[in-house]
Amino acid sequence: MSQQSVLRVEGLVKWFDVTHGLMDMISGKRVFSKAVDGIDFEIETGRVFALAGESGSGKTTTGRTVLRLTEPTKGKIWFSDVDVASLKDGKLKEYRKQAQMVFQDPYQSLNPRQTVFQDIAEPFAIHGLRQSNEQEYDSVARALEEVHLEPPEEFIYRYPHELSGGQRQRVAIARALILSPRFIVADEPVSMLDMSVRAGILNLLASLIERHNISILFITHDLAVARYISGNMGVMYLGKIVERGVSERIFERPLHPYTQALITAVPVPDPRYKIGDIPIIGEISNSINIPSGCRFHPRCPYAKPLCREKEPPLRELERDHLVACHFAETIQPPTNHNRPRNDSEREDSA
Amino acid sequence: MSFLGYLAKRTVVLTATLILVLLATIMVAGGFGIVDRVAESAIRQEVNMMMRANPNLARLPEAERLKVMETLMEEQRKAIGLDKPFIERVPKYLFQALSWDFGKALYLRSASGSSLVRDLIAEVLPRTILLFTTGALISAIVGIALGLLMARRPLGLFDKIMTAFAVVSNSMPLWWVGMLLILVLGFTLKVLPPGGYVSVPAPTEPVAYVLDVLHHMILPLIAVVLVSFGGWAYTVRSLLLDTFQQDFILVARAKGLSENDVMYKHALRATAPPIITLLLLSIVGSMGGAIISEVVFNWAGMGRLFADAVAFQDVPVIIAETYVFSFLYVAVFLVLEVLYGLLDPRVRTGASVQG
Amino acid sequence: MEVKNLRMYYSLLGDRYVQAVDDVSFELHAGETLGIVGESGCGKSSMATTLLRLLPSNAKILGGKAMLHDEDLLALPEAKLRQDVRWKKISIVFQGAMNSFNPVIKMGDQLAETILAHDGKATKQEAMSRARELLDLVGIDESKVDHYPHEFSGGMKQRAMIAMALSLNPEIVIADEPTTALDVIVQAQVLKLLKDLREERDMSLILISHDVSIIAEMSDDVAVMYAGHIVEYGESKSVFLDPRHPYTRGLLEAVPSVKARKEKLESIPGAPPNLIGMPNACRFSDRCKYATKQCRENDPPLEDVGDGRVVACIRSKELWGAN
Repeated sequence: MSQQSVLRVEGLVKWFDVTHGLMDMISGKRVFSKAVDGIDFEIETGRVFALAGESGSGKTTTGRTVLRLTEPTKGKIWFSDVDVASLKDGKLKEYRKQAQMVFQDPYQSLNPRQTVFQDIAEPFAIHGLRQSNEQEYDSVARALEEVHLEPPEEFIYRYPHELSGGQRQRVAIARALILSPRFIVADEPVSMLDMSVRAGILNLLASLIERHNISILFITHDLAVARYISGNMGVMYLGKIVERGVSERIFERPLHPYTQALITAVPVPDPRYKIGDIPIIGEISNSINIPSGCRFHPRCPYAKPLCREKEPPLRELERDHLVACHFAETIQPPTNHNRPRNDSEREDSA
Repeated sequence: MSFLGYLAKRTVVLTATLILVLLATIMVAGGFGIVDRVAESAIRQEVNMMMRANPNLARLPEAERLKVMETLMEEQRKAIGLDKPFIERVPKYLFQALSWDFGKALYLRSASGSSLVRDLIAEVLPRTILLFTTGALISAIVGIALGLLMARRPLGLFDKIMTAFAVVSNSMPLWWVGMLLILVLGFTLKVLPPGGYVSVPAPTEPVAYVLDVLHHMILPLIAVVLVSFGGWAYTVRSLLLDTFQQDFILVARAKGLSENDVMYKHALRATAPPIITLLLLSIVGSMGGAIISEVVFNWAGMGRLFADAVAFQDVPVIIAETYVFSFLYVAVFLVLEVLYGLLDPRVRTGASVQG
Repeated sequence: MEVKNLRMYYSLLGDRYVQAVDDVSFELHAGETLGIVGESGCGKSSMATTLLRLLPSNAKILGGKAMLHDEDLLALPEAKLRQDVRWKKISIVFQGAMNSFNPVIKMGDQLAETILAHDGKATKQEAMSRARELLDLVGIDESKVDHYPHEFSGGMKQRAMIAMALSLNPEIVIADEPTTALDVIVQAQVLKLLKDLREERDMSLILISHDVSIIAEMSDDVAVMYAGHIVEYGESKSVFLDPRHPYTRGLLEAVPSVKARKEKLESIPGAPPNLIGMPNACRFSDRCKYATKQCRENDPPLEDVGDGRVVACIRSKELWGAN
């Protein structure tokens, strides 16, 4: 394990028991939703690792399992030499001080009956770190300044309903940071915010990482955001990581057909570039009846008989760029228009 | 899943439930020794009667007589099976209950003179169903119609008045309203019979008999409907207003459907499942409250019988009535599930609302 | 269709109003797509429901015209609107097709309903066979007519909704956030479907979205809405590549692109205003980095800056020139 790793996940599996028919229950036959079916990745200190995928890919479950909000079925979660997958009670609580979460819905993740102050200061009470009122006020005020809710006096006693979505999310971030964690899981933190507000939150997260050397597991379905915020990323499909590596490289040269389709399918804010034809068919299968062999083969335009029989392992095709596909070398990536945002046609002024 | 498949599955599950309920009732009754004590005293009564009827035995000296009594009682016990421990008798009781064989009542007798509990119940059950099912249906129909009108113009004058009325009328206890009506309509104004389900003496000719019963039903019906329709109206109104918030109602309007079509073809159909649930539950619920109401109106139904049985401590009748009530509940549930499955297709496939 | 000076407010308790649609004007050309982009609370969805007059009881249309072939839709009697316009000339695909279908009625019946409601002579059979055709048109197996909405996936429901919107061959389809809550790939498929259908039938499409990228992808003309006003309006290519309103510029600078290499994004500070009791000032002035005293004193009208572009900003010409 590299010296710089904060988190390393090995063979993580999370299966949900969804047996529900009376007959099945009696006969002992069990039905599982295999949300996460064996993934590995590593996050270095001070880096953002994006886990990208559509709904049903298992990315949210991964985030929750890594924080032990759900129990992993199998696998190891190394947090600085300690396998947190099997921690209990006191040690688990210690872990929670160091690993925090920021949720997707800013309208639901804050207690509507608590003021901003109470929300942010709550972790003190939970971990037995209560201080005097003055000290706590100071800590909270400083946290608010960090997330640019300034002046803090104006926000500190407000209730969530008096704040905008972006402000609420900043409070959620402040709360996550108050005990100086080393690692944060951010589950779609901007997808419910207005577009003009998202950049602010993303930039805030980036600056916090730099200042405090935190690492972030950034879960998102929005590839544009993933490209903007992450240094490394993993693309998930139906419980497995199908491509993993340096983000910029994956976007410049996506190797897996699914990644290629995903990137091609995202529209850009430039009317000159239209989405091409997406060569894949159908919709994602459910996580209960997973296709044999390569999970993606029923929808893959390049599928061959081997793909149905054998599940491709994640292998390194170029440095720091892994893909799980039998024929990745032969697949031509679609033409990619990589352009800087500021185009020569557009004038910028003031 | 097909509708028949759904139906079959529900029937199996509910039958199993019924048997479990029955078992529980029997265990509770028997576990405390009530059944045994009742049976003992019944045997003692029987034997006493037998002894008195036989003049030879009466002349025997005390000690001899007691011995004979013991032997006879022993025989009786064996006949019923009381010599075996309770646990072993449970299957027999279960079977008896399922075949509606409830044994004999201790004190109460049916109008025809039978002491079989089954006869007692068979006599009174139809009357209860008649009164309360009719009452629930009328309340529901009136309530639904009013609820519809209220939902058309929410917070309008009609809505506000009806809501106030609903709250007030729902809070009034049935027995109190009943007594008031009896006083006013039955005694003071003398327009309706003050109680009973049939005149005394009852008319012999069938048609006249039926009309007489219906005549006696009017007063209790008025009371029942008065007390329930308000709650119905308000509930239906609220359910409809909830449905109106749904996107598909907006779509229906956008499609160019008239307000009437939107209301009847879409809103009402989507709200039908919870309404039917309420209807059936209220039918069964009202039967549960029948005990006091029937006493107030002197309506000789299941409730009145239960009240009498409690007064006389006629245990077999009490147990049997408890069972019959449970059976009715479960039967109504089955009907409910069938209707619900018909009305809401999501239930048949066990689908979640998200789809 | 031409919309002029449309104003619709929602009235709240006690003499207050939500100025949801405030003096909005635009033109919709035959066979083209008009994109309306704006963030939450800008009034874009309210505008869609206003055009078809599907408003709740506390909404009041205070002025303006919506001219379709020389008829003002806002002035038509309700009966005529229902019979001739709704779904027949203009149909609408709502946000969240999840709930756009009645859960207890079969899908085929809901599709056929539109036909039966507008054509007194159509038989049930005819309507049902048309329903089957419609499903086929959007790539759904015809046998699904007998299924219930909950048996359709999210993407399928959205496509069924589009099919239903086309059932009477309308001239105009309004699509309000048609792909929110859909996955990336399904979204691309639905957008392509909309594009293809629009071309085949030479329909006009009003596409409403908060997602700038979707608007850029789909529209020929674009109107940018902010706080109930249209702040910039013109041809899509011009507006996106050469934005002339501070809000539009800010918005485009704040949006990441999947095809662009990393450059710092800038968000717009503050939040959109609530639309109650707006003062007489530029509604964007409190967040605008170019705002002056004048901006805070008067609500700027839309000004022509040439080439069919209008911008509601008094400094636009000064800062970025005119054509």
